[in-house]
Amino acid sequence: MAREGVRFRWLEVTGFRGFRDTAHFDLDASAVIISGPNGAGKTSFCDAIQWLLLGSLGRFDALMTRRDPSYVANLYRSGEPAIVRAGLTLGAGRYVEVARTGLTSPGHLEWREEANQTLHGEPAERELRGAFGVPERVDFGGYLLRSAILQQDLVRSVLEDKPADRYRELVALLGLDEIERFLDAVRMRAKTAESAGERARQELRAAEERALSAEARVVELAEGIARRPDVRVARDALHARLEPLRYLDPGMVVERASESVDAALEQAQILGRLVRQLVEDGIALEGRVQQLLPANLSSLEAMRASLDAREEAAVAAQQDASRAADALRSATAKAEALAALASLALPLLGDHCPVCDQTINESEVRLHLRQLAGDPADELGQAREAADVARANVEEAHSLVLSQSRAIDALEAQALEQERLSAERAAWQASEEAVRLRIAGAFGLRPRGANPADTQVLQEVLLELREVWSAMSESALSLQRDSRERDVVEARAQVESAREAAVALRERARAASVQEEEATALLRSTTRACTAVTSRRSSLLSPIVQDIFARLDPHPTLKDLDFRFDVYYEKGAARPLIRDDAAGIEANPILVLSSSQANVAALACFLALGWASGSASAGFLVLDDPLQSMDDVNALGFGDVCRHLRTDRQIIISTHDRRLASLLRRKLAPRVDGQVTKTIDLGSWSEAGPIVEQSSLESEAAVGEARILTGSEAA
Amino acid sequence: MALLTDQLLADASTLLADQGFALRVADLSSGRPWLLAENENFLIGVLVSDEVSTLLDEEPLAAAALAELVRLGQAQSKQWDVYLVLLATGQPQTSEDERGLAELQYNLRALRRLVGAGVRDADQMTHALASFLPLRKPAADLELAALEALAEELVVNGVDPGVVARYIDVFRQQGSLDGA
Repeated sequence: MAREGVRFRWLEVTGFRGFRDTAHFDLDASAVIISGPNGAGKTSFCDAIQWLLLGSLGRFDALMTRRDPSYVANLYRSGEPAIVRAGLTLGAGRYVEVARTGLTSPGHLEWREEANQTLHGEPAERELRGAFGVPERVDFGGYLLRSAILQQDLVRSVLEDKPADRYRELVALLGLDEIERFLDAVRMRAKTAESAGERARQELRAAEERALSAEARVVELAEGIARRPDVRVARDALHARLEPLRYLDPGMVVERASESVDAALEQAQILGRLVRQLVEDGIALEGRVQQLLPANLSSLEAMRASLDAREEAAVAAQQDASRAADALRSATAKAEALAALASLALPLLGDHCPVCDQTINESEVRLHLRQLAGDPADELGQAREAADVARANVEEAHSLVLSQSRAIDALEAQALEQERLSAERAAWQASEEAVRLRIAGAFGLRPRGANPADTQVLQEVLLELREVWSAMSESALSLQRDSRERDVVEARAQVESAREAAVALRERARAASVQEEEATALLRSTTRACTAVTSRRSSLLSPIVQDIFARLDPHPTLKDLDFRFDVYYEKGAARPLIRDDAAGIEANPILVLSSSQANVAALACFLALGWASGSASAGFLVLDDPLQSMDDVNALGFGDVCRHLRTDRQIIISTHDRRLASLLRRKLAPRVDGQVTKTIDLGSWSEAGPIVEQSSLESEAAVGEARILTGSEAA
Repeated sequence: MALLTDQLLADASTLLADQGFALRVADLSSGRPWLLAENENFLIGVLVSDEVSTLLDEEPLAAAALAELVRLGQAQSKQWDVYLVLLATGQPQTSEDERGLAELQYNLRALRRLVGAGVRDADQMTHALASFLPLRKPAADLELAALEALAEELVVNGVDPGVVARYIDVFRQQGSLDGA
């Protein structure tokens, strides 16, 4: 049984775009004609259907902002969400109610079907999409807007789209998504094969470069070996450098011809390092020796004897000081006693003597008392002076002791440093001796004998050692440069390895190239094949496009409209063409037709695509003011086309043109039993929305039945 | 040439009869036969001549006769559904012919005129009468297996059938060609 498509039974709009208050529309008819002046809400009505089904209004996508929901919600409803509800028949007796609520896209969808659980959100969206039978891979919005809902401003998009986009749309409409996905898979495989091929070639190039590099190194090493001097020559050269040095015996050469160059090199490197260390240590030692002042150790005993004498003098001074302190304490006590006596006696004296009545002079009494006490004031002063002198003597004596002690410490430290340097020098000399012996042993030279212990030759020895070091370094370099036998073996192994790798990679790159060529060839073939299949399949569509275009008849000579499919830059492309077969002329309709003619051509394409897609999915057509700027001939043709469309679709047409509305009422009036045509007049728009008047057209079945050519006159 | 116009008129009769039109063949006052057809929606007159100029000469006769028929039949409800189809087997010979045809096409007095030149066979007659015939249905089911069609095309284009079958199988199983 053929599947029936989705149709509208009713629509209810609240707070959506031009509708503030709830408006309920009865759409239970095969044709619905909506009329009203511009701005009355016709487009809001069509938008409500689009938003309900898709959750978006495509023509506002570019303008949409999250913070500006005004393109969905009614402006006079102050932030309340828009609600669009509809009753839909899905065929086979199924009836559902859907509702979308929201301030902006996509809002929240609810799917309510009797005897089933009400669905919300994503499950409801899936159910809605499923009701249309549109496969997951097909863009649901694109499908509806291509074949079921004609947006007023986008009528010409089918002609103005890029060829590749139009190709994809037509491919989807023709049910050929699967081959497009296959083509994508082939394209992906070709890309992968290309990448793999490029990678294999890069690896091959790298391996070949490695082989070439290794071969060059082998050549270089071989040349080095060819230039390599005999080890004996190198040794003789070194010997010649060392022989004049003062502590090596001349002419004492020991043949060691069997020694390998590598061993000689290693030995030279070790000895070179030792000599270098020796030189560095010697330089440091020399520096410290030069900084050290010579210590006069013979004066040390005299200094110590002097220190003893100074310490004894200090003790004597200390004793003198103690005695002076005692004397000072005694004089102080005496003076204090006299003062106490005077302080007690003087207050007892009157102004006159009670015996002789002689006047008493206090100062004379005080002087007399002092004379009786032996003048303690003088004694105290002397004692103080003596004590000060004694303390000064003590300080001086201690100072002398201290300075002498320091002088002795410094001299002893100097002596200790000298001993340490002597020890280090001895150690260095021992090292130098050992190295010298090793050099002599290694290079067949015999040492001249023990190095003189005279430290004054240190400078000279260091100079010689530097010379030895230099000679050994040069010799080591010479031996190293030419001692590459092992390197040659390794390099040859690398060459062999790189060559083997290159062989394997060459084979791999060849295989990858073959795969790449195959994949590319398959891509070319598949692209051509897809285009051919699409073109062939579209030939099924062409008669429909031409049929509808001919009925609308917008141009006196360019009568045929079609799409041409070809391959452009390995991608399918579809271009619209308009033709005059009699004159053999064809052109892009957008380029040659007037604006209104192009609109008619676009409308023909839209209607043809919708018609060709069958009524099994979308059983309706929503056409929002499709006939702007069309002439009467086109309008008549369109009315007749609608007459045919309604036999298989529910058509919902809006127009601002009263004459067209009148024509459509005539053309779409029910002429056979069962046909229902409803009209919706939108007018007098206010903040609440438009005033809606709805009615059903009376059946003209009687007119249809009545024949002018009747009875015996009919054939 | 009269044979051709007669044949075309017969083709038109067949086409319209197949769609349930009531038919009548009558003669214009010029003596030329023409076809009248009617269904629940349309009342149609079909006039076929050899020359465009003849067609232009006889159009007023046919238009007047058809209008009179509508008037007599009191079928005012069909006044927007009355069509005169004017067809010539030949092409316009003069600019006057071309201009005359264009003017007729946009002449909506009393009825709508559909004009065509160079109509010489049944297909072209079908095209000329398309407005009165049901919209064409797709000639075949668009849901036919697309991959099979593609596979056939690839083989025709020289791709090895075994390779094609293998790729198609892998694609069907995993939706890609990874590892194919």
